Amino acid sequence: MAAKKTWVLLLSIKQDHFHFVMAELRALAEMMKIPTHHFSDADCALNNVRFNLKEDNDITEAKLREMCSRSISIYGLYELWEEGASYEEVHNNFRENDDSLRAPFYEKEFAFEIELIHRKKMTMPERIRKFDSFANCLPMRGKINLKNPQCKITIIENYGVPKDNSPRGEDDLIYVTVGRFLCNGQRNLIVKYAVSNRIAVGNTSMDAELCLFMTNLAQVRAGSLVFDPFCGTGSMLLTSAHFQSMVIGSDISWNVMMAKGKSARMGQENRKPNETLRGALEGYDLGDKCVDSLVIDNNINPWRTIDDGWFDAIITDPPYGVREKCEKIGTSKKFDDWIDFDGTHFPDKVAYNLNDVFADLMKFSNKHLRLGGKLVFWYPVSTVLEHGKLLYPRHPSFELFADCEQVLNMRTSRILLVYSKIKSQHSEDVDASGDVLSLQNGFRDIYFQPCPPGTKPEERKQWRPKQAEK
Amino acid sequence: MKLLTHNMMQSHVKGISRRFPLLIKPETVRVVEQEFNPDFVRRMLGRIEYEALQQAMTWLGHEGKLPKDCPSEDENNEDILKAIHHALLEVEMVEGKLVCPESGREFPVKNGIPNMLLNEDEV
Repeated sequence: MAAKKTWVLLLSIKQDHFHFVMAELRALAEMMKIPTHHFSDADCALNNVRFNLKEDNDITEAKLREMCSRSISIYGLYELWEEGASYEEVHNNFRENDDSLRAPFYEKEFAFEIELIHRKKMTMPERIRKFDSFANCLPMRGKINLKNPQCKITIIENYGVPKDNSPRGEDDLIYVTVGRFLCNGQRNLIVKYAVSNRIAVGNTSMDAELCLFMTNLAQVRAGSLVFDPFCGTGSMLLTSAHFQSMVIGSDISWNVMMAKGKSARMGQENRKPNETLRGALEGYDLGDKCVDSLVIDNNINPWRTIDDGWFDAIITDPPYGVREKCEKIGTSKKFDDWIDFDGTHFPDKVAYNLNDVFADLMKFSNKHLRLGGKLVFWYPVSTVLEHGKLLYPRHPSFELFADCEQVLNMRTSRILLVYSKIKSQHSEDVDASGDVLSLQNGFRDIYFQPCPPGTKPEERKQWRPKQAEK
Repeated sequence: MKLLTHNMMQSHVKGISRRFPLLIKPETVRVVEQEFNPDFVRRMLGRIEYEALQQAMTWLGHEGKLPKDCPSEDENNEDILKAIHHALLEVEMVEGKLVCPESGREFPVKNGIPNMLLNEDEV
């Protein structure tokens, strides 16, 4: 029987968003039809930012490469040759174990490379000493080719999680892995789509890494139709279009969609004419992925209901009423002299209750998302409330796929909720009105709760809002 | 505004019964080439109202470019799919108006962006 290959999936060490990483791997594995149990939290913690995956019917190199072509939590993919707790052990393994899988590469042009985990610096002489140590156990007979090797042998050294800030040295080495490099993940996209590199930016444009996470969690693929009902400058639509989906964005703000009014950029007076959704996409040569951008009040929207649902994914960041106002069309006043600008009437807006924003979003998705599609959005919570699944919005058509917390400050977090649509809107047990259950987010009440009168200035910083009474 | 979007929308004015399709009163129309994705076109075929698409093409002055009958979702003829792709994504109204078929309420389209906001007395 031929020897089975094992691949090492090395994750990025930057673990700011651990929950996002695990959720992303699960979402991508589901897309590539790899059983998701291979990516469990516990395995990741145990193996320290890597997974070893054995070749079988469900796991092939092609599938893993495809996963890398999407993932931003994966640093690189390697074909495992040998591993061990020390260099001696690895050298011994190289001498003693079956080499049928690596033998074909002995004649190739090659180069060595070291990846350090939890260690920052290593001098060149130390690196070369390590490369040379393989001379006796790894019979590479090809030429050395540093620029364009046919076989890049990568040594992954793990130094363990540091307990303090002292620099890590040779003695801290806990595990060595040697493998053949196959491909990298998509970390470079974080720079490409950084907010500072975009044409259109706003005060609340989403960070590129989180946009990419959201796009992958929504399982956007080539030819998907993706919609963002609160698109603003279209952060998430950019990264969706990058993965070849068609995008539609709408927002209630006429100014943002038409690129009129004050710019959010420092030192720039007004928005430039190309700072629209289409302009932003064209800046990345993705103009032909743009279906349309529209000015729509999501509370009363013009989308036509069809049986299947129009959209393959709905990815959005609704306003929470902290940095961006929650608004819908309406008025409390009565007046006749409407303000027109450039032939356009600007209707009055009134506050859009935060709970209604999310309830409407779920009802909307129930109508217009196709079965099996993903709904991805941010949900603010006050950390003084216990958060558990019961507090998230629930809808009979949707099943929670992932919830990833990003801590904003001492008092608040926002949670990225990913729902899969599991029932069509016509299912019998889905109420026609599609009531959203158990929505009790008192986020704004708690966020804006004032200090009680008489609090001394020095106590103000320590003061925390009280939990809402149940 | 592309005709796929036109096909996805209806009038949301209150208290009317005939909402679809929105009439198109074009002022400027342009044709922009878009990458052809046959799978996307096939998937959309099952969702759009074909007659409304034909009608919209006529309003924009591009009549007679679509096949008479709606092709099925497993259509393989590339020319037919390309004609539909052209109608859905390449013909675009830059300036003009969308008009509610029953109430006559006009929604302006500027710079290719429809403004579908109702006024505060209409919600």
